[in-house]
Amino acid sequence: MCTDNPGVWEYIANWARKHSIWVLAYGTGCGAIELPPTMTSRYDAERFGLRGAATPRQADLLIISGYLATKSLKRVIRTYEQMYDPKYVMALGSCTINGGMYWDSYNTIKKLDLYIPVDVYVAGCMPRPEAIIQGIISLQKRIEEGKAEGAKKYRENIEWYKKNQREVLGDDFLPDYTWNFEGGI
Amino acid sequence: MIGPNNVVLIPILAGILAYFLGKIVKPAREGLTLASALTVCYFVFKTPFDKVIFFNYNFNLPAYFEGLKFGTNALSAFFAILIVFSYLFIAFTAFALVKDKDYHGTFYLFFNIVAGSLLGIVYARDLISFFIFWEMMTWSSYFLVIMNGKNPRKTGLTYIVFNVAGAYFMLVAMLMVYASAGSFHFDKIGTALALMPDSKVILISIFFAIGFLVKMATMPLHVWAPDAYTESENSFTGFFSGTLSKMGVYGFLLFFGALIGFANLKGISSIKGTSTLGYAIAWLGVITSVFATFRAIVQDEVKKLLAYSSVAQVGYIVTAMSIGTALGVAGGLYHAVMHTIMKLLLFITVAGVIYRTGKDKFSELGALITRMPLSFLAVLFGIIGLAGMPPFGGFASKWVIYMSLLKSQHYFLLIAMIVSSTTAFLYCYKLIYGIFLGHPSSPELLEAKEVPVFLWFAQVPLMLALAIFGVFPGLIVPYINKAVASLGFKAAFTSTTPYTLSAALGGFNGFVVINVLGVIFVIVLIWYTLFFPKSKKLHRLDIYWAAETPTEETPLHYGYGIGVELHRIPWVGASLSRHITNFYNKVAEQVNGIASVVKDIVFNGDGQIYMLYSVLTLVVIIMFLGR
Amino acid sequence: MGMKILNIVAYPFIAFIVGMLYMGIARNIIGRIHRRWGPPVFQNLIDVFKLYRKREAGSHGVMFHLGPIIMVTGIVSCLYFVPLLNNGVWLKGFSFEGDLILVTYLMVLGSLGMALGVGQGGVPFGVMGVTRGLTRLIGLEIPYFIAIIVLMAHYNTASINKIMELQAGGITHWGMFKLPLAFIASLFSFWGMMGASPFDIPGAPQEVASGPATEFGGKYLALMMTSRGIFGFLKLTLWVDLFMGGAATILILIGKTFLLFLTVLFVSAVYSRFKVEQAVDFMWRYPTLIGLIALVIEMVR
Repeated sequence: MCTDNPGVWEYIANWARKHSIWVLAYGTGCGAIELPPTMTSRYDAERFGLRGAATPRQADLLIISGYLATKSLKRVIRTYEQMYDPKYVMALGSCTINGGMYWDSYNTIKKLDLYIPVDVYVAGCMPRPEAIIQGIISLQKRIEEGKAEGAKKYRENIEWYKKNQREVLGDDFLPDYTWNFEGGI
Repeated sequence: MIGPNNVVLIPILAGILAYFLGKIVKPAREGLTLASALTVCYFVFKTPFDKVIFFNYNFNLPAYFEGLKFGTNALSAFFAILIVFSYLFIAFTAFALVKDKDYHGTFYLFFNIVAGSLLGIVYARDLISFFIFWEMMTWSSYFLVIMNGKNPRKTGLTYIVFNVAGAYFMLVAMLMVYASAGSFHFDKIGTALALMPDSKVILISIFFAIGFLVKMATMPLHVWAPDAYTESENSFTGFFSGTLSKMGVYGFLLFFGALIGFANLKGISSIKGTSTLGYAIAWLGVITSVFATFRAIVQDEVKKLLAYSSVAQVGYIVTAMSIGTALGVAGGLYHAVMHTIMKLLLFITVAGVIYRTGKDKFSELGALITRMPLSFLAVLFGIIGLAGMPPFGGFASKWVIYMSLLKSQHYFLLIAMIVSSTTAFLYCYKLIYGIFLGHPSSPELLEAKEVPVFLWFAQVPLMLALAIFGVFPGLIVPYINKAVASLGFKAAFTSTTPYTLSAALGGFNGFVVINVLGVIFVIVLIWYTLFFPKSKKLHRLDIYWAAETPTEETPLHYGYGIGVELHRIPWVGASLSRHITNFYNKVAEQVNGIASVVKDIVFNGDGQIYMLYSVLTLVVIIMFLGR
Repeated sequence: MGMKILNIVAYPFIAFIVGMLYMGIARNIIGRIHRRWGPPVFQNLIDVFKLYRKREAGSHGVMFHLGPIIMVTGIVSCLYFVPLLNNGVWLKGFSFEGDLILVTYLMVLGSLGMALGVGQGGVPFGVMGVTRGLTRLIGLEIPYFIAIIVLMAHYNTASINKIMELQAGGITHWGMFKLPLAFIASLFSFWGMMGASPFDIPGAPQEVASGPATEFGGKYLALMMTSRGIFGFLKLTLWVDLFMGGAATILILIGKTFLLFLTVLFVSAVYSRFKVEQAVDFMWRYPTLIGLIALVIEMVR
């Protein structure tokens, strides 16, 4: 039952992961308001096995719902690093892709992918719940195919990610123990 | 031959010798104490358990002075074993903890005298020797309470006032007994008491009960206990709360069981098969345990929490004993043993922790588990015992008490006891979390060392004892049966296998319980270790903190927080906001007022009045001499 | 012998599967109550499998690691002392070796182990959750104990097997009809112990970030979920044994437990959460009063 070599167990595991995604919604921007309807009666995302998680330790999917101020970025990184592999990130709205309407703002980040690995972007300003569900379905496909390996990517390119993060956060960088403790992330 | 009579003298002489010899050679104090403890252990174990032995000391006194009588029977032996064990373990503890204190000599003097006087109490076979040793215990422990010098005036005064008052109630009762029996001798008293009028028996019983209830710190006479337990010398507190309070239990059983007899009291008036007096005391016991438990939870001082918990646990014993059935007394005895073990273990460990860290509050401790694994384990065993959880001995004793209450159909007492027993989980958790888990309240806690090696000699055997009584709950049953039989009951338990405990309505097999637990634990542990990737080691501060990054300065220890919501529960909050000390303070104020009035009239500083007093005294003396 | 071993091995697995399915059914039915489809009934099995297959988990120390293990140990051990069936030798476990009081205390043992793990985890939210749980317990245990005292007094035994035997012979002999008030009192405690909604205080995600479970993820959370499933089934079975005459076959057991589970579900679907002091206060008022009336009736009889 060792997890290192993919095999039939990993196949079954991926199937289970696909059907059980616990969501930590990081309500940064306007997208936060789209998430409750996604979960509740109208769109009922629980059909797909989605469920809210209370803390990053329990979550599989981090939803960044909109623009990210640099101040929030620190918290997002912290949250992402606290989640356990396998973990996925879904970015909602144009702001996370190219800055959107905040393209020339001095304190929002423009490309989320520079700081943490993103699995699925859902474009729109704002994307409606249907679009979020569409995004989840495509995430499920990626999980099933074994392509949603953001954690691995993050671990392998940790220096690059930390460089990017440091450029934005500057002096307000995360303390060492969060990512550089006993072998790092 | 060295029998119960001389055993009493060994610690007392050792104490006196230790004091003076220690002035020349300091280690002689420890050595003598340890030697005396081991000797006493040896002799107590050599004495046959349930044999009745008597010794008389007549000292060539006039005939109306009966002389002192000592002896042993199953009940005495039962408590003697508790005493000598505690004596030994506390001797080990003191070895490590007292050596640098400036009251080094006096500690050993009084500690040994206390141990000797405890043995004297259990071996006394007449009321006079009983009372002598009782007073000796009170006074010598008084010095151990005030020795630490934190708040000697208030604590010491409360302690001595309550205990001496209790003792004098007892003394009055003893004199009343003597007035009708014409003897202080235990065997003669029994028959005399049976012939006495009911009202007098009740009065004597109440007076005796007051004396013992003070020692057992039962409400409303418990006021002295929390402070005295908290402020006494750390290494002695285990003995104080674990063993000294059991003298109340012994005295209670001696008087109500052996001398007057539960059946006799029941004959006077009874409620549901229990004597009315016993029933009232039983209620006092559970009420004590309920309120003391609530109060224990909200404490910030570690020792004070344990002190209140001690008051609460002895409350169970009081209740179980005073319903006066064979099973009830057995439950009381069983719990007395367990409580002694648990409280010795906990107080010794806490003494070690305080010694190493210099801190005695939950809000100042925390995260010592990695630094003191053995002490953590000791406290874990202790709290599992206190909470009455299955694999350890605490469950067995609590189970017997529950069964005794169920069998004698005292359901309301049982329900009240459950309130206390369930609430106890909270302080148990606070105890272990506040000291050992969570985050350190100050950085130097991360450099604390494990408690001194000499404490291990006490901790490890006590932990083993708790575990053994849990696995073999029937091991102690023959001894309890004998002790109960010496009070004139039939054997409380019928089964005799060491694995099982069965009485009244049910039974359980401690051996099976521990095996099931152990096997499942091992299976899960192996499965968890072999079939899952190793978990990564997280930094202490790498916790979920709402996406923030806590620093060393962030207050993350929740030590004091446990129990604050208790204030918000309507009835509990109300009980916590009132304190019986206020009542006693009011009484004290009134007494002060009256006294000052009396002083104004009687001792007004007028020389003529004083002269009058002396003349009057002289007249009275002459009148008496003239008769 | 083979049968016996099979019996014993089967115990936790039956409890796990059924318990997990019940939790899934609960989610589905609550979904229907919300007028949505809800997840499939085996959703919780998928969840727990996924959690077991998480590649990472973090540990804060030995006690943190042992916490969930002790929890599952306590709960599975407790399960072995509750007979699942009342016919002959099948699925009796070690229920002849311990009585109701042992089971009651064993039920708390796992949570205490868990609490130690939470303590070493060092999250104040977790400790708050534990404290809330223990405080809630003060409330829950009182009606429960009153009910079982009535039961033990009525049947004059503390053995679960004997209580079950004495209820044999038709629906009118069941504890819930013989001692209706005690049953009602115990039902409140039961809802609380099952974590049904007015009493779901310890693991409140909105206030204390899922309480004791806050710092546990991956395989640890998986073990916690496993034990929660087993624990749910254990409590259902215990109540069926005590008040519904036990069950002769697994199917009857599932039927009875499901009926009992529906009450939990319907209560939790419509109520919002109490504060901890409200829960204790509530428990000490109405259920305790009902229980005491039952006790007085029993004592008079």
